[in-house]
Amino acid sequence: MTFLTNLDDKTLKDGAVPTFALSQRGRAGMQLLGAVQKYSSGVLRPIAAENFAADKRGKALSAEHEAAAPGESARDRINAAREVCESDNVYRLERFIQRWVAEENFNRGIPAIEERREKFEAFNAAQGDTELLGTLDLSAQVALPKYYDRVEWHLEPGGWDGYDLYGALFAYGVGPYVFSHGGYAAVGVGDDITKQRANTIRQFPKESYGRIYEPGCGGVSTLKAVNSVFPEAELHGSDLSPLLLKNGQKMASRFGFPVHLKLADAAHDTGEADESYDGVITYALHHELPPKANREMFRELFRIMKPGADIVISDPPPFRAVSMFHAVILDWDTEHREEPFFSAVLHDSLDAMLEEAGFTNVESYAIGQDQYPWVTRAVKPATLAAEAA
Amino acid sequence: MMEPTGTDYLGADSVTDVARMLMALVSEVWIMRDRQIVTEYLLETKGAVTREELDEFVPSGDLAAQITAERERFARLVAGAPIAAVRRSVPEILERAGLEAPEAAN
Repeated sequence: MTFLTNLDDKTLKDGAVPTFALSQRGRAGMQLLGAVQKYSSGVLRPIAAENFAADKRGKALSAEHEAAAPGESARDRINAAREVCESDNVYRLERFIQRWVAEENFNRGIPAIEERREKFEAFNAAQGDTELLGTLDLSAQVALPKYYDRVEWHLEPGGWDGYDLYGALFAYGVGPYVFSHGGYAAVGVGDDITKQRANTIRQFPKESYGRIYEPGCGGVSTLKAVNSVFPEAELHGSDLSPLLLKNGQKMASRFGFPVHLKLADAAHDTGEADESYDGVITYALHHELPPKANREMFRELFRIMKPGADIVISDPPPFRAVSMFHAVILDWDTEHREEPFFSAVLHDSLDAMLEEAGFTNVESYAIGQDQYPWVTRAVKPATLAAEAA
Repeated sequence: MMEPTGTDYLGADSVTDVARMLMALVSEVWIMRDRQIVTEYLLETKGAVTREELDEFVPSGDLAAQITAERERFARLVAGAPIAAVRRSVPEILERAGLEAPEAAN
């Protein structure tokens, strides 16, 4: 999940409050981060992959990885492959640049947006005067889970709620100038994350949906994509971050679509009625939860879905689905980009978790380069009794 | 061989921090380079420029494309410097400089 990263696309509502730009210094500094990361992932990383493939031990590990039986642990292989990678200067340089950009998104980005605080607050005030669509319910007493509290996700100082202008930082800095080039975490170089979301929503099998729910909806980037594919659907979402939810409702209103957002720990209690949704979408969420919380969340989602409802998930691909070299790249995020559960989830199986929760017709596949987005989808049986028979 | 210059104050563990310092400097140089391009553009098109106009200016169209090409060349030359030590064919050198290799160079 994240804040909305594109505030001014062509779907903006007529008469929407105009936004503003960073200063020359802010813009140029953020743009350089994007350019350096693009070079790193687009040029240095393929060279590092070639070097790995040419290494005798790397070759052997790749062969083992491809031949491994499903479910077999990849931990030892990834550790061994990392040693091979780390003996290569180009790999180390590429990883240093990835880390540096991840740090600088905030080290450079926070001052870039802070010097525009006055303009952002004016924009926010003008936005506040316009009609807010949908509903926002922050009334629930939600205890932050231990796995969530104090984690500075993606090196974000203070976590999701650590700085009041994070919404603006992602919308005006990190989103357009850094993320737009792809080439970080599981996102392939040159990939557009906005298009990836829309392509994921198209994996829903039916022509139309009545009510769709998204746990961990963040700043409504994914619900915006849902609205573009299923404009008739009533959209609901929840998150643990009040800041993300407040931003989310404002931004959805800016684009002219209503959302119903609620503060909730969806792994514990969504606060939604039994069998009340026709579809569930989750996007880049499960790698941010420990496997145990994911299992609890799937049980809760199963409860609120109507019989016959569909669930579509996009998350980084499991290690078993990617090359040996790419597994090392993905595994790196756990230790170096504040993603404490990234590897644990990629070693596990969302497919198995869904089946354990009672879902059927579980399937998973890639719809983009480097196996990302990796889509997992399933169905809540139309009648539980018929399924048992 | 040159004589040691004295105590190794930073040590090998600090190489990454030295790289961070270098990249901070690289960012500042690029911000100045971007500002220079914008300044030249505004002087050419308007004849005069104020500091506020420079701060508020957002490049678009051909100028934005020109700055993007220059920024990518800059990133390639800096982040690709270690690669330049070993990938040294004429086409590779020209590519890093953002130039097309003529037939005669291949």
